[in-house]
Amino acid sequence: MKRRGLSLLETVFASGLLAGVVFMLFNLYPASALAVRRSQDHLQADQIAQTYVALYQAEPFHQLAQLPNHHSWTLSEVSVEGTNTKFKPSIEVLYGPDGSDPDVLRQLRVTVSWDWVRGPQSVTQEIFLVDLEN
Amino acid sequence: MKRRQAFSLGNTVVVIAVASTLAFTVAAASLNHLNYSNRVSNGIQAQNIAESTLALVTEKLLNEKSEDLGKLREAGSSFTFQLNGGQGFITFNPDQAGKWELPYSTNNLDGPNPVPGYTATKPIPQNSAQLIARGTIGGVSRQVECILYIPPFPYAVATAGPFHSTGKLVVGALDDALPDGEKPAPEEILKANLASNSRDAKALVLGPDSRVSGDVRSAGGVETDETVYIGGRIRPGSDPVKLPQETVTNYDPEHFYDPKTNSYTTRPNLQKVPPGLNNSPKVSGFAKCTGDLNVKGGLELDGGVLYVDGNVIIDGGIRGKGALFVTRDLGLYGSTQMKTDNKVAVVSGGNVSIFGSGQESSMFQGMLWNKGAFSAQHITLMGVLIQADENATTDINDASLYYQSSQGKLDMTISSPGSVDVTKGNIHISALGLPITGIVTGSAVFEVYPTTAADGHWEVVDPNSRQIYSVPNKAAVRDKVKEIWNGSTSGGLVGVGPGGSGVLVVPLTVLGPLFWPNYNAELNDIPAREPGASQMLTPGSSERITIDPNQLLSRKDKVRLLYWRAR
Repeated sequence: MKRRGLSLLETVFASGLLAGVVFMLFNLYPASALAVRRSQDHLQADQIAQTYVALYQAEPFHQLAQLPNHHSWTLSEVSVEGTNTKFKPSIEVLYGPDGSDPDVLRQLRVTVSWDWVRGPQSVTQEIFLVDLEN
Repeated sequence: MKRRQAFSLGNTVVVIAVASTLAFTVAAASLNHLNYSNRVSNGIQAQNIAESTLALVTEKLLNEKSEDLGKLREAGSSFTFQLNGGQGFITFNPDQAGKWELPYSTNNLDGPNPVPGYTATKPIPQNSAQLIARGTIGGVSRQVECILYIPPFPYAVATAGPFHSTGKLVVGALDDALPDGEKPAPEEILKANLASNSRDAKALVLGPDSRVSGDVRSAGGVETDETVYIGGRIRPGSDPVKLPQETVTNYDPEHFYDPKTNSYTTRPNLQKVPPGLNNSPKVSGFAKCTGDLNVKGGLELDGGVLYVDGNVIIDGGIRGKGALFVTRDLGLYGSTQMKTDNKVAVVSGGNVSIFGSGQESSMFQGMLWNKGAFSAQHITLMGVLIQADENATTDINDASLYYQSSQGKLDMTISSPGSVDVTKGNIHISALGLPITGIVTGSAVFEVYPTTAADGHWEVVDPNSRQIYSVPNKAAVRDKVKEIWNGSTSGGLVGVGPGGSGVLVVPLTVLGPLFWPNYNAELNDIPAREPGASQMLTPGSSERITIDPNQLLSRKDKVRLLYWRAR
């Protein structure tokens, strides 16, 4: 009798524990998956931004030097194979600090944004480029 | 039953343990992923910050106003920049570098010699700057190092317009001056480049048997035939090269810009050369000719700068060391023999024609810059040739163009004669011992002048001892001069050119007989001076003149990235 009650209690306890753990796991797995996915997207966005930085580093400087201050434009969306995320890069060219020569120094700001389940996300990379084209 | 109950509980615990392990593994993996992506992201940002720091300091170095940046390694030569949530560091100051645990940077852009950098084993070459910057963000640091370099003007020949050679053109570089009358051996000819900024289909035409040891670069087309040898690359359709631009009138000695007074003024004791025919003139100091100048017997520049506001024809070449500025056209016929101390900079606002008698016998040494058509025949040019008019053509026929960076720039000191007019009077003695009666003279000066003193005495300056002797009158000058000359222990009279530049020994025994019959004429029309106002003893200030194609380019037009390392 005592052994049966214990068995029932044991079963109830085990079931509850199992249910609790399963509940926790059901929440943890998607959260982890989302976090991994988010960091993947973040990494991907960083790589896209860096690609554009490298692209404009390789371009002739005079193409940047002829742009006015705060000139910006949006590029076409970028999709990465294996994901559904659409990355939207935009570029802004600014003058350097006060007193600097805009024919020699420009600031490049690349922003990559994308939509996420919990709202829009973006990464920004900035770099100063100097004319060393001789 | 008992066994089944025990199994049920154990099974549950095992399942829970496994599931928990899995859960924590997943959580740890996602945390690691997040951490990794953050570090990668920060690494990219830190790299960008470090590169931005280099760019910001490079812009300061290229700015002519702050080109001395970091040279004194003072405390103020350290910089931090905030960018994108991170910070960039760079310093030229070793103490600050120690505090930041960052190697210090070195600015040797204007230095003529290598200097030590942050490691003794890695000297920084001349005309270079070593910059080391660090970017830090989110605990991640990246360091970027680069070496900027300002090379000598890289082209033996660079033209804004088309370049046409009818044949037998040689373009090369030489380490040493070419011995007189000799052609360099093929193995002595180093790489030198040829460039044309013309966009014509026939921008660069190399005729039969032409040899270019380096690159041939053109913004338009390049035309050669199978007999043409090109040691470097052929680069048609290239971007135009940066050509030095100059305005000839900026060198007008009558209207030169004096930064001390921030105004335009006339150089003191500017010598005037009369227009028209001049025989074998020798120029020392600054001289100007207003009008066309026709020179016979060659032009000698003895530390001289001749500015001609008009056309110039020179028969007999240019020799010596100095500069010739011509506002209009220049014709140079015949030319000088090779001499290691010949170095002339020619800057012309019009067309330039140079005609020699043969590549082995005729030579021009120095820098040629003109804004007009250029033609050269039967001559060897040692130095740099720059033609800066995009609408004019450069025609070369049977000529060798040898690049020599030392010949391609002129760096000399010109002594300003101060306030005394030395173009009149005195005893100017030519190398042959004959008194020179022309105005533009530059041989030895035996200094003799009347004074404004009440007794009207004359003064004679011993060019050897630099002592001033007083004689009662003009008639007494001759005896004093003979006495000084006879008393010289150096075997002759050491003279100085006007303005104190140049040294010449005139032996009495050889030259005296030629000199004395004419010397009286030299004593006419000498302006009276204050007693003791010897030009030899107070020759006035000296001025350093540099004409370098590289200097005509701004720093940003010539700086190059020599080395780059990120870590």
